[in-house]
Amino acid sequence: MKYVQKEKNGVVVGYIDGEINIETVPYFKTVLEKMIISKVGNVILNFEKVVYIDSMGIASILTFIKKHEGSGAKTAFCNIQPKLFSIFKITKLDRVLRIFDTEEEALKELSEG
Amino acid sequence: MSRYFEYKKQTEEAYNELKQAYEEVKDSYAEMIFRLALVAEYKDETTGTHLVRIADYSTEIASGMHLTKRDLELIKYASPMHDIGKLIVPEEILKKPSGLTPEEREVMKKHTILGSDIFHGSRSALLRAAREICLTHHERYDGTGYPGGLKGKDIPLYGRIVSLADVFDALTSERPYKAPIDFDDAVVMITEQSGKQFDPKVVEAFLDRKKNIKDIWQATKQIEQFIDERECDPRV
Repeated sequence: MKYVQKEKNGVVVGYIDGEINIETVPYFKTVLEKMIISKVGNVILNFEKVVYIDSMGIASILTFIKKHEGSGAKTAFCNIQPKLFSIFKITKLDRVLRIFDTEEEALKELSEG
Repeated sequence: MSRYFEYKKQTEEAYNELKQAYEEVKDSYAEMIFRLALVAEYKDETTGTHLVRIADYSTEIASGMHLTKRDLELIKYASPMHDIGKLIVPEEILKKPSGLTPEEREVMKKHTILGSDIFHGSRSALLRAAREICLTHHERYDGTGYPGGLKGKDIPLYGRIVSLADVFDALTSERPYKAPIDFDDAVVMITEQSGKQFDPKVVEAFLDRKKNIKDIWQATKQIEQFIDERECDPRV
């Protein structure tokens, strides 16, 4: 799994490439933890290149959301591939997460001012 | 020489195009599998995280058995289909809270055959794996399972793996008629069934990966808790 992030209109956009699974979760957690420590504002996780997510991957993101929201910031997701979206739907996560079709839509919603 | 490079470039382009097309087809298959499984979930009213757990537990056990990467991929995407045959079981039987009559129990058991019929005749390795799992995930290593009463290694490997994953998940999950069994107690119960209900090699792999299995179990509990909290108090 690879991860890069960019700042756009005051929002951190994280680009994840590969699988978020039991093997890659330890690395992914350090990435998310860094964001909590550095108190970043709103975050968009771009899932365009995420090919699979397992239960450990989902749980790591939910832990992040809880901590992140504690500081008043929001987390959103965009560009989730259909195969992956069916996992979000099965687990009913689609009902409780901020999910946008495109990065532009997510940015529009989360950008300040 | 320049013609050589031109051919090489064309070949590479064609290969990449083909590879992309293949990936798209593969993704569509996997997507359809999850969507189909989703339909069965709507009818059965079990939790959606059950499917994710079955995929994760089965993949973890398969990995503990040192199966190939291809096997792991197949089992990951095919295992959530294990109960797809329940789509065809009459709802009044499927949703009966308790006390199935012997006749109703026989109908219920048919979900294995009905599920395998859905995938019958497919040439896709993934759908063939799904068929095998549907048909054999209620077989028991000692030959007392159903529908075939198959024994030992006559039960296909994927069926033997998903059988353990499914029972372990049922033990540790809450159902309308029972409380969940504690993780460690469930592990003991599984271990006791080695050579009886389950293949000893599969039990061995399960025990070998106990730590990861526990992590998966905890992760899905966390997911369910998060969803419960948010559905009551939606902040999005």
